[in-house]
Amino acid sequence: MARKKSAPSARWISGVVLTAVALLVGALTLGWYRSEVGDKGDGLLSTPVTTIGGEFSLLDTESRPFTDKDLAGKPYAMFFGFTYCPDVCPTTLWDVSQWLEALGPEADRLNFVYVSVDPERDTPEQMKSYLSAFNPRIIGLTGPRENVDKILAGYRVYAQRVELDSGDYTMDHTATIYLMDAEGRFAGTIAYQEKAENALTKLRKLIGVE
Amino acid sequence: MTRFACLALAGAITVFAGAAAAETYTVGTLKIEDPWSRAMPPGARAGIGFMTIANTGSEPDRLVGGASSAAGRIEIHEMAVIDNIMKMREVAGGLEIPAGGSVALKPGGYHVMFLDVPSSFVEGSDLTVTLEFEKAGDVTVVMPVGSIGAAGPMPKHSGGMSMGGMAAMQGQ
Repeated sequence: MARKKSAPSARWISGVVLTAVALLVGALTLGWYRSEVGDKGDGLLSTPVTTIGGEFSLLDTESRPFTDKDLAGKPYAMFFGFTYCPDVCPTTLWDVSQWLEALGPEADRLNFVYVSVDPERDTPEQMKSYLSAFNPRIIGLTGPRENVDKILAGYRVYAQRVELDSGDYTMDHTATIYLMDAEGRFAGTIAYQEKAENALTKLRKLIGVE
Repeated sequence: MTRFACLALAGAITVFAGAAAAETYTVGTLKIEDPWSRAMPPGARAGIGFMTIANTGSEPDRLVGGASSAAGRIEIHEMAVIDNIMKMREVAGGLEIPAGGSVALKPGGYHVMFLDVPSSFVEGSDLTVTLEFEKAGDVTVVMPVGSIGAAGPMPKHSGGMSMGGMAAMQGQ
């Protein structure tokens, strides 16, 4: 129903502030990325760096502990979202599922990890149910808020709770897929809705078959 | 050429089937074209709906909300990915449909947001949704539900086919 908004100006101001912060974070990250990480010249993967990533301790969809050690030895692609997300998250998971199909047996050579930015609503059971619609290789992780905050900080992920008028909330968050090498070093990204062909080339480079 | 004729016929049947589901609805001076939705993963609580709304009148109107038995609540939202960050906001005061213009609700932009969805939308089903406009009033539309990764209201001639194939595989 049409409802009169009590304080649209406050909404807009907070929106503008959030946008400014997000743009600043984005600009700083991009500037940092260009100056520190550079590009190997192929325009696909960067020289691996240890300044993005790091240790974490979360729970998988069976509520079992899952840490960075469980990913050691294989490259992985990590991305972030929440199960109340209506568009970006399910379409990214759908794309990832298609890439996994396309990789075929090569998919054994890397891991895909989906981390919740909304652990208050995304319990392991909720993550399990949600991820059942996608490729079963995708590892779903959630956990206590402080543990989630630690991995978000380590991967320099922007995640911000935004209140809706209805009393619900949504999460603004980084929509990029992080590509990490077998030693847990950041090696590149796949952008939201990047062409499948590009994504597959990057994934094949990451696992060393191209 | 027989093979080509078969393909053309199959294409025509597909388009016909799609057209039967994706209709144009008229209310006042507004035309609502190709409303559609996407399947939701099990346990997801938020669904999404899209359409194009054209206004043939001389006054602007606003899509202010809606109702459906498929959701506890309906809001009109805008989504954008800016500098790799996904943001979503409710469109305050409703979405304006300019006089003589049209607005597309589509992936990555404006959309109808279904909240408190009691049962995940299933591919191949239809949602009955009443849209509420400030001036034109209410109109009930049917939104066919595509796959979780559907990019549009019906399979595209290229690209969409592989998605349909994948949906079929996943459904098994």
